[in-house]
Amino acid sequence: MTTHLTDEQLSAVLLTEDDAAARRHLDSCPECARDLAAVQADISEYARDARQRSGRPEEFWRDQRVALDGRRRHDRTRRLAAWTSVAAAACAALWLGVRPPAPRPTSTAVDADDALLVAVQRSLRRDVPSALEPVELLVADIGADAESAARP
Amino acid sequence: VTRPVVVPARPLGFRTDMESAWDGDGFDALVRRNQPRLFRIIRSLVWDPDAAATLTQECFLRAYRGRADFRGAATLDTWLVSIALNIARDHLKSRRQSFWRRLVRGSDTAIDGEAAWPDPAPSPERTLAGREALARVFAVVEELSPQQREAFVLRFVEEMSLDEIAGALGVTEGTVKAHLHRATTAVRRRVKEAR
Repeated sequence: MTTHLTDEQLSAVLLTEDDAAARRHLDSCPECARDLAAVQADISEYARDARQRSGRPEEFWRDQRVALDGRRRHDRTRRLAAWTSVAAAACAALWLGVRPPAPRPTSTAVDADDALLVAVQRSLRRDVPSALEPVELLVADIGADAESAARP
Repeated sequence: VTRPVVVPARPLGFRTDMESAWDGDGFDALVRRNQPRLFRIIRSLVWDPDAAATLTQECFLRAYRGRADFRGAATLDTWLVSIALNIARDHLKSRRQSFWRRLVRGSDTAIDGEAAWPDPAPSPERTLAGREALARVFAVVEELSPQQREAFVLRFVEEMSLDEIAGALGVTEGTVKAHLHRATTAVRRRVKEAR
């Protein structure tokens, strides 16, 4: 009884790996040789078909390269724009960081503020608003006159 | 007296191969060299030529954007293949999700009139035997897992070495062999059934 090639052996031969025993067997076994040839023919047919279907004229490849170049350029422009924005933001942040602090109020300004505050407080404490002071004096004078006239 | 170690300065304008691959001419050469191959790989996996064209572009763009991530563990070409595989995988995933969403919404038609899986009809000039062979392999490929399918395409369509495939898939050579073994065994079974 002849032992034919196992699937592993046939596979190894197809992958062009060195298997001396399998090669010797193929020389003496027409059945296995036919098996191998049939599998090889089927796979070759598949490969030929795949290559044939993927064949394209030179214009196709050229157009694809042009489109790719455009996309790559667009990519670069976008990246440049992004970097520019980042750089502008960094510059703005830096400027804000190193800008001299706002000037502190001087002692003269502080005194003036205090004086104003005191004046406002005084004005609030008065019974009569400052705008009505002349009227208050007039009323006081009239009152004094009436008082002196009534005196015997 | 110890002398200071003098590190040779990099000559002005000197650029490593890695850097020059991404500038104008270098990038153009990289695209020209890999364009047909990546398109073929993506097309063999997603089976939509328009989507494959867009995804091929996307692949180069993604590589360009992520050029800093390339550490040189694999070759630049293998790295591009691994990006192409990821993009194809994402596309298939979103297409499947979109298909199921449409199905749940009550429409069982495939996405945008496109078949969820390819029409394996070969060109008319193919012989009957050729067409049968193609149908057999398509049936097998359809049954493979995504990673097995990728290994199959890379090996038999692109004729990449096991080592390169392992690099592109991010797995060991042993795993690649196991994937390919599964595929070739299935083809062998189909061939026997057809006799």
